[in-house]
Amino acid sequence: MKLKLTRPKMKPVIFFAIGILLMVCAVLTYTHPWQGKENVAWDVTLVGADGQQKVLTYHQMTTMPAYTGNGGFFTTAGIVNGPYKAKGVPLTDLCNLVGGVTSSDTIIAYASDGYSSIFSYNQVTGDIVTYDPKTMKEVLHGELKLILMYEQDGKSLSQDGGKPLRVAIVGTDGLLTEGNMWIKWVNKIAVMKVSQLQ
Amino acid sequence: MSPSIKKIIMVLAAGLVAVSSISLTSCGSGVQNKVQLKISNADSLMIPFQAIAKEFEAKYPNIQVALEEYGSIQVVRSVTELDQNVDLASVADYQLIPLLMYQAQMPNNGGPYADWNIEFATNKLGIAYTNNSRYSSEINNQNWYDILSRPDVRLGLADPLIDSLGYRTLIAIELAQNYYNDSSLFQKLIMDNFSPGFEANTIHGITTIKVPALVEPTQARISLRGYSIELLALLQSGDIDYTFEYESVAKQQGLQFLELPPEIDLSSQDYVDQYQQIKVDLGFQRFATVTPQFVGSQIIYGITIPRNAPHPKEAEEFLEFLLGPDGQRILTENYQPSLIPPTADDVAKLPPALQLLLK
Repeated sequence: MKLKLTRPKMKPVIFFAIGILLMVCAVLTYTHPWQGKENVAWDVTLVGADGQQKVLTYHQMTTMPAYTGNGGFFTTAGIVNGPYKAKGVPLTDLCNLVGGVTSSDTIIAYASDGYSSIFSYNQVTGDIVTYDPKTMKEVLHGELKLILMYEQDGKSLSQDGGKPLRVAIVGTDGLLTEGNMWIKWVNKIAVMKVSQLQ
Repeated sequence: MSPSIKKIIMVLAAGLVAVSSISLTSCGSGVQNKVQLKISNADSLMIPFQAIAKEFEAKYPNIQVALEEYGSIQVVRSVTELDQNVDLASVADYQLIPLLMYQAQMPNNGGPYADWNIEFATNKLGIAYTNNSRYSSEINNQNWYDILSRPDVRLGLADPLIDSLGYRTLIAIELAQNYYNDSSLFQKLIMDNFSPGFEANTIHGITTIKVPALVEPTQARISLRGYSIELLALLQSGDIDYTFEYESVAKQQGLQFLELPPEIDLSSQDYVDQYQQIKVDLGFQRFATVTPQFVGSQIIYGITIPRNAPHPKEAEEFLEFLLGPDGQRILTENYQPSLIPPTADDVAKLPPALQLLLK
């Protein structure tokens, strides 16, 4: 007995569907390059209070123990962004790689566009005014951390959102803070003695 | 045509249909081929500019205005450093445009980002409060500094390192010290309420206020906030009694506003020489391109069309509207004092239609 092998006939509509599927995937991949893991060429320079330096690659950052919390910010005109679910490395953990931060220190975060912002020790340890995202009224908060965020709502950051690293102030309550502290495009974190600032 | 070629054509056709539909979906919805006019403006102009944009869009239905509010330095940086495709840039300190845009070079041709600047509005610095503020029935422009110094009065201040209102407040307090001939005023209102680092030294008639890199209140009665908008919320909720604010913003929010003498309020051309005798040195440089030193000056708002604006014709139409009778009416309705007539630093460089409005 001879077996007759026949290919099942695929109807044209199936080819049409496959075509649509393939092209949609191609277009979505093109328009959303943040999908999936990517190799980001970005370094962060850490400078300790005593001058010691360490350079971390983006990849090294993302392999450090991470903190995930919720938080958002508002602009100088009161426009609310977030709250987001943010994942990143606490600034204090980064500072610990270059000697740590103490109550006589400040932390300065620098961005690639020439912007920088200074944080007091109290702010670094969570003493920051927070706002309810619904009422925009000042409210007390629980745990609050400054992190160097690399993932926002489960995705890498967009260019306009500070890609690849942005300071975020997050905690368990999903509250808002001032936008000037959410520094985009961070490429340097420096610990500095308060006495050196004067 | 063989069946396999037919199948390939079918797949390609399907792909084209899919791509076309995605493109139409992402680009066509809601925009309806309107020109998107992007305006980057100082946050204190938010309310009048929103009202102007609304009437402008009604008059020019082919244009959709997108307003983005920032601090004034950030307005300029949105053009010169952040590549935001801005059609119009408007700042609360007109000097920032020549300072930061005339000298910055566009990468494609090396030319400046702007070469003219229209001064079109002004403002007054005063004290905002509510009827529930302590001593609100007593305060006037002869005793305000005494009331604001009282230990049971809660005072809100904008951070001078972050908000231009903050360093302008310091200048006004120093001017008040001279005006009321009370040499302890800056000490009582500022230095006694913050951690060490504030200084005010006068040499050859010029007073330099030094602001430390970290500005931290030491008294519970002082609320320091990065953005003045936060202070308005605290005032409205009764958490503070008084704050320094621009007249336009206070009145837009329905707050009481105590006018200060023109020698202090940074509103008058007549007292510019006095204003210029006060200088503020900020102890922390937030922007690599901006030297953190500010000299007292009259509050004047400036506006320009960046030379890389994507829609210069529509931007010009907006400026004509802003400087024309409708724009002036809306500014007045929103308590924003206009400069009448508006002036420009180099009229010959303006588009011809705008030159007519300044003559």
